[in-house]
Amino acid sequence: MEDIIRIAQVSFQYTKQQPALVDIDFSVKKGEIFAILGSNGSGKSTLLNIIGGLTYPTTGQYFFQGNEVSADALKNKSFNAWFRENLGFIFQNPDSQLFCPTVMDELLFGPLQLGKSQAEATQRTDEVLEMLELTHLSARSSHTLSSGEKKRVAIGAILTMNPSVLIIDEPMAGLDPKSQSYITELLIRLNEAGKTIIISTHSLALADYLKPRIAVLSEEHRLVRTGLAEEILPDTDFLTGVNLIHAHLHRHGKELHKHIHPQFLFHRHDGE
Amino acid sequence: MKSEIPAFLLSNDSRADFVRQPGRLRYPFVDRTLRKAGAVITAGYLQWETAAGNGMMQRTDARVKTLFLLFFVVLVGLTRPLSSQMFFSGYLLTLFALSGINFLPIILRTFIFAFIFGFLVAAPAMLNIFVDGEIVLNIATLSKSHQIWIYTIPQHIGITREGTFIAFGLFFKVFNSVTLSSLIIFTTPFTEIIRSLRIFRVPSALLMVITLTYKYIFVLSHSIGDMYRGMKSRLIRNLRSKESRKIIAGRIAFIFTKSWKRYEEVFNAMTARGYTGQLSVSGFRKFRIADLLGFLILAGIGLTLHFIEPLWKILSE
Ligand SMILES: Nc1ncnc2c1ncn2[C@@H]1O[C@H](COP(=O)(O)OP(=O)(O)O)[C@@H](O)[C@H]1O
Ligand SMILES: [Mg+2]
Repeated sequence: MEDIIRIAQVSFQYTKQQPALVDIDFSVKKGEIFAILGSNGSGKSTLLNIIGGLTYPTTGQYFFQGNEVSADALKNKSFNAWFRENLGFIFQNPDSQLFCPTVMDELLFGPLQLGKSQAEATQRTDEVLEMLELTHLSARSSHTLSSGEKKRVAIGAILTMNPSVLIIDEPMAGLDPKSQSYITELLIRLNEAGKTIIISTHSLALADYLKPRIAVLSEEHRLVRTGLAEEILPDTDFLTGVNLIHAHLHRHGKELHKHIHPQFLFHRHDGE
Repeated sequence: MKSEIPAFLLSNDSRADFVRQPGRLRYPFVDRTLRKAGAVITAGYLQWETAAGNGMMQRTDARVKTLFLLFFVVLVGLTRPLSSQMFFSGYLLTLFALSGINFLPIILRTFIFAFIFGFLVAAPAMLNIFVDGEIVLNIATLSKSHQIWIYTIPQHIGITREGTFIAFGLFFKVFNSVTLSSLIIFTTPFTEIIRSLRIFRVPSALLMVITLTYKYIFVLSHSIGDMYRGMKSRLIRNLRSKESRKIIAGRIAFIFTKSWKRYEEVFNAMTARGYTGQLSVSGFRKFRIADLLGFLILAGIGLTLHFIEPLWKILSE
């Protein structure tokens, strides 16, 4: 498979003293599910912002389908259009992403900008609203919704654009279990339809469901390992080292004790 | 949620590889302005929060600095001799240097500000049309003098010694006052300044309002930045002005609602932690002899520079 995204020796700093990413180097292949795994503050969101063309590396380069993405490159109207319609970005915090008067406008915004006809845009919007069970909220203003509803609106607003690459920062944040399992299924189905999916997460359970290729960021903001979920998830020692699992104090009957709970290794298949 | 995934999502919109065409992307004016304001506020806030450092002024007690600020602003306002004002500038720049701050950009901005609001405003006074006096630079000579309304246009038009004195005096007053304020702001975290205002018996509730407003402006500017990113990630072509008006109207309404909600949240958070309208701000350590000494030295040098001309006369006799 060809590389769709290449991150070459990228470093990023918000302030001079604190690095947020140090010397990151990897590629994402067209059509795969790719997960950036790391504990809080390891730099996942920052890395996704760079991939989404929202911030730019302090040093190093970022290529999308062989074209360098930089502040300058994106000032070109045709490049910006091509890049933005290929890449759909779903923020960790949906509040940051929603800016239209109503939920309906939010979903219509993308396809209309892509130059779709009003009829087609409306049809897409209706279908996505129905899929995400948002139809009854379509006339509401997004800031009056609950956080789970907002998240779904944010996802819907990107899906109506039908981008070929979906970038999702913490897809499960703020969702209840039912919505979570639905989003998991949606991601798998979209991937089967040929879309490249890049997520960030600290959830090993999600990684276990999606079986992505994984890049692990350390707390020192470095890329410490890339590999398949099947190789990385069973490596308990490694995951403990990057603070993705740790021992829990808990009770067994009257006894208190502490050990690691690797629940994600024990998912059950129905009927087994 | 239905498990029916719309057909359009399962197909890929055919998109040829990127073909470059000329044309630049423009953001609507209001957006650019909001975004820049947001960025400036965020940067300023970070700077102010971290106004810590190991320089001389940073280590000085905030109350000493606040007292010094008040004392020196009055002194700068009262001082007439240009020589004293020049020494004041030198003194303030030395304090900047001793604090290890890269002060050139700050001084440059202050200079431009003082040039416009001090010098240019007072520049006409340099001409003997407005202020009579001894001409040091002749600009024009007319055949005879004219009387226009309340002004007399003299035969010899020129720049006077007295007028020049007024214009430069105003320039230095503005320059020194602003430099002084920057010095304090750049070396004292905001919260310290607020707390030190308590020694002037400013009610703590008022200080709390100021603090909340200030934090709040930061939070809001951060939200503006966030929303701008949200828009950028979905902006594909230049918006038609009608669309952009609609979006901007929507966003401004959104920011208002959001700020209102945020205010409620902050208030609830304060209530949950025991706020009942009475505020107890944690106290400072005791004012020590060393602090008093620090103030006396800072102020004493200022006072000496104020009297530099008479002192010089006494010394040179
Ligand atoms: N706007 C910001 N300004 C300054 N530092 C930031 C900002 N956003 C994130 N950081 C810092 O950058 C690092 C990486 O943050 P982030 O990418 O959000 O991590 P993650 O998404 O993995 O939790 C953290 O140390 C965080 O404190
Ligand atoms: Mg994050």
